[in-house]
Amino acid sequence: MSKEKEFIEKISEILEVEPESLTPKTDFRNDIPFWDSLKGFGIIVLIEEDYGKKLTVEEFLEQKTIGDLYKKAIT
Amino acid sequence: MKLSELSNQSRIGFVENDADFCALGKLNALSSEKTLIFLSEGKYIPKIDESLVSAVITTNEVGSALRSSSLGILISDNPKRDFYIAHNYLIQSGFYFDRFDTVIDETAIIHSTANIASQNVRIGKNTIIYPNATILENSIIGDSCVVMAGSVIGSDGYEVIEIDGINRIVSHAGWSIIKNNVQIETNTVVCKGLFPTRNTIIDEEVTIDNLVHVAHGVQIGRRSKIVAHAVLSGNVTIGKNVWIGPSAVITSGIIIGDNAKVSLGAVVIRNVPSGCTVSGNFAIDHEQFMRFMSKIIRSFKE
Repeated sequence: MSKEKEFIEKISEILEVEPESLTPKTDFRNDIPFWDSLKGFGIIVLIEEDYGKKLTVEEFLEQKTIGDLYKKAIT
Repeated sequence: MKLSELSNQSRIGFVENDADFCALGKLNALSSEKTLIFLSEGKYIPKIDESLVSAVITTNEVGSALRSSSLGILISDNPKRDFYIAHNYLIQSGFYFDRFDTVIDETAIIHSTANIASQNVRIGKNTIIYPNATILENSIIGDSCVVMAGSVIGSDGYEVIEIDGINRIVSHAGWSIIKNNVQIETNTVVCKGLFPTRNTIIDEEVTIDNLVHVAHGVQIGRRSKIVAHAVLSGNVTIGKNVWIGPSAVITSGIIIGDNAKVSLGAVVIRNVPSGCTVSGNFAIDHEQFMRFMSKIIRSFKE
């Protein structure tokens, strides 16, 4: 499994959707049902714990797509 | 008034060192000079600010530790009980406030089933008091306010003292002061202050939802919003433009800064700085709380 695909699977668990429904272009706030701030903090914690990258809330709010999040996580 | 005069007239304790006092207050909520307090335990002696406290009702043991101070001392075997016996006497004797006939502005609209005390109430211009609302003594309501059905303004707060083996709620001598353009929804209670030195004050344009408890001495700043079922405990101070969420609980004496937000269901036991948002039980910074919750949720999934 590619690293990006693995990232999308982890994100899908937080968003409570099937991984196949997500792509790097998915707007994770608007394209999934029932977005809330707890899911947002779930993503921040995922990136911090699994990728060692600490995002501020402001930085997180600047990210629009799952691809944006992946770039933040790996750089 | 002199401590010796109070001791003689209300028949409590004996005066070891006489002094004048102008007000009664509790050590944790002092706001005026020359205040008479009670002190049951010596560990609170360092908290006495002699610029505010002029006299103390206390035990012989604690009194002996205060003899080097300039404080007035009245010795009692039960300082808290005798303090409130003195307080009840002072209410009866007119020490705290003058009585006046209730004044309702002619433009105010009072529903026929609303209950307004016949003394010590003022209601301003264009204020509307809805059915079954109750306005008790020592309530001042400004102009263009709304008090919806079933709300009670000016009730006694919850301060309990055992006298002759029976628990009693202490009579309150302060005021409920509601300034202009305040709106209070249904079945909310706004207690009056325990002492006139710490009145309950709701500033202009505050809006209060249904079923909110505003305890004695709470002060709420301009344009703050208090949502349903919030509990504001005694002597809480809330700044301007604050948002208190549904079912939040604010512990006694807490200060919430201007523009702060308290999330729904939060239990606040520490002061909240201006502009901050707090969440949780016990409430912490909202961002910290959300990170913490996210980590817990992740750990359950793993």
